Amino acid sequence: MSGYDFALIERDFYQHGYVTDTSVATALRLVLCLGKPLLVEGPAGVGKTEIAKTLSRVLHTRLIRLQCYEGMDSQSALYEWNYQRQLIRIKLGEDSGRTAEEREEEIFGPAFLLKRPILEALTDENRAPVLLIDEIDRADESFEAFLLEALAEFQVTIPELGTIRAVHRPYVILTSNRTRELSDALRRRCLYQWLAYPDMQKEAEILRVRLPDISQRLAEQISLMMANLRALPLQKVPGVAESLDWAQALIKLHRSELDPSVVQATMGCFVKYRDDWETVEEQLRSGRLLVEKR
Amino acid sequence: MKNGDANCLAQNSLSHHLICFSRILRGRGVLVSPQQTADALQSLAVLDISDEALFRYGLRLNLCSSPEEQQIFDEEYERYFHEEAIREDRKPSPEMAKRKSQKEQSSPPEASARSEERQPDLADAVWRPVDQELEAESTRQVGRHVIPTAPWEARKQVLVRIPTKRNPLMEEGAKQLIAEFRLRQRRAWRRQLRGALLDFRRTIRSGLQTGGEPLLLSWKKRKPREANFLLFCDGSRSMSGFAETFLQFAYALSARSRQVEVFLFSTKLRRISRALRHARQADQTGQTGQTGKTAKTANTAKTAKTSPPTVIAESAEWGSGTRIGESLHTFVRLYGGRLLRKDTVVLIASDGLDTGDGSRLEEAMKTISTKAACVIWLNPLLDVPGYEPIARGMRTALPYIDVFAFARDLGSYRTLAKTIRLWR
Repeated sequence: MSGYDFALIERDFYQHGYVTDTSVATALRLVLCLGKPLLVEGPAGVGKTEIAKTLSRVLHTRLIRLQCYEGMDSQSALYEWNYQRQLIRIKLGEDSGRTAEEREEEIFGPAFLLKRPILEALTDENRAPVLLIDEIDRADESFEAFLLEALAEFQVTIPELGTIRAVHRPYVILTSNRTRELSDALRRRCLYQWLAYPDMQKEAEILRVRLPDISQRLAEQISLMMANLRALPLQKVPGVAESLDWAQALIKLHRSELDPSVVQATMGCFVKYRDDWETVEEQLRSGRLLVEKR
Repeated sequence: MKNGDANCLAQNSLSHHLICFSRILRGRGVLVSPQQTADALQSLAVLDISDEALFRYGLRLNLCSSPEEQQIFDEEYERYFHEEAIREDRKPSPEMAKRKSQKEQSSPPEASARSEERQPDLADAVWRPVDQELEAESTRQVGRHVIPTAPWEARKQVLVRIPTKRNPLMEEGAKQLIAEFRLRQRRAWRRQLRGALLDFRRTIRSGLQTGGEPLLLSWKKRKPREANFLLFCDGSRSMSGFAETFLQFAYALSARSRQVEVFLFSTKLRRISRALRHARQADQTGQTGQTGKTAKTANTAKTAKTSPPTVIAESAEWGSGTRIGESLHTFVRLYGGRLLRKDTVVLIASDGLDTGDGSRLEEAMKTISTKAACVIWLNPLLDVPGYEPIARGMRTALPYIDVFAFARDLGSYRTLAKTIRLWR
């Protein structure tokens, strides 16, 4: 990454619609300079995945995403052979008179290899891509161990083809919702960034940057109400993603200011449980949600 | 790393301070590997460290790996770089010198202390405040990293010992309990003789032997998977005797399944799953004599062999009053969304003598019972003749409990496991 001024990362992120703070910007600078993976943890909907997306836009590189799920194995993360195609080729080549070795070499060649995200990231010819390993806590612990190996060496060994080394070392960003504690081994190898809900000023700023049409007053009111909501005992605490959704809905409805009736009508944007619905309604009636505390 | 190493470096160099600081963090229970310290130093070379915020974030990004650790980092950072920097010229830093001298002092009486610990008795496993005489002992165990040692500050902490007399009944009970809950399937496909789907990879591979004709078919299938377990241990004074047995059961359970989370509460709640796991690791490395990470960081590989696993708790979490409602409410707020799932089995061990807010308890129990698969409440008073669950806390919680059982001694856990079964 020669020629990129790392100090400007905060500004570049801002221009691409992502409001960071010094802590996140420092983390990203270290990712770019040292090539260490970054582990981002935090509640749902605070923009963990968005960091990787924005980074790829800022650097003008490809974003390769590996969405983790329970029971994920190396075949869906690394590579798989295209079996159907191999079978057809075996059938077609039966009478070609070639030896078994020649035929085997053919069907285990690069043309029959299906690249999965990690291999894809290692073999990018042009420039280092951003590899996003999303919700790593959903994958099993055995997968975590496997990942350690791939991330430590930046190489992958395929028995039939040999070892493939990274052409450009990808920038790796891992996200986790903490549904499960990750192993210390993985944590130790990563830089660690905790992303909390933004404070009121920052949230208003995010709304203004992402939705240029929003009025100053509405942005402030939404972020104030979100801050109050997050202090309530809700089952699903609304994240920034929900406030963006809500703001968008309000803009579409041509509202430039919040009042209890509007909130009541659009509550579905950020309340996702019936119990929560009742709690919020009660708070709304008491008029405590739209005023600043203390 | 030997104690002398830090002194070889220039007294006031950045790396010297970084090593001292890492060591302080380790003393507070933060896992900092030498590699991380090295990475932190490397990061500082890249950043403009005349800006203190960058300096601080650079260190924090490298040295911490959870929000809890970040909190400890922030405290220690303030103390080390702000408060103590004023008191210049920290030869070998004061707390390190102090620790070192304590370590030397504490070695002679070690033998006698050991023999005492060798027979962990239930009666021995009581709350003892970490005070002057215990300090020496806890410093010896730095690196088993469940024990923060902070001689320079009097924290009100208690050392919770888990009795580890291997009890076959208890181990079997844990094993059986895990076997009795089959609430979901693994998502991963495993090779099976009679499976649900064809395993293409293996079929093609074996087809090579038969001229490309897939004659030997391989099958794969999903296996059932054990449930997640959530254990709540009431550590209040009234639970004395019973709580240790439950912790021992938790210890046995977490050794057999990875999906076990353990919480300890009295008036405050604390998650001790990690501490239990680390204690287990330390226990195992100690027994097999391997030089694992524990043995390396602790200069105590030898002592780790025989001492019982311990967990440090604050006095509000062990051996004080009972506030079940508040504690469970805290749990639901902080962890509920992540840990309460449809395949979660909740075990609560408490006598239900709640002194807190009853409505809080009801609210928390309602959430827990709707979100989890099954709630089991273990009450040590249940076998007392004439006992009726009429204590306020117990009465509030009762409608939300699926299994209300008694478990006092080791064998009763096995009996419990035998009577429950939930397969989906």
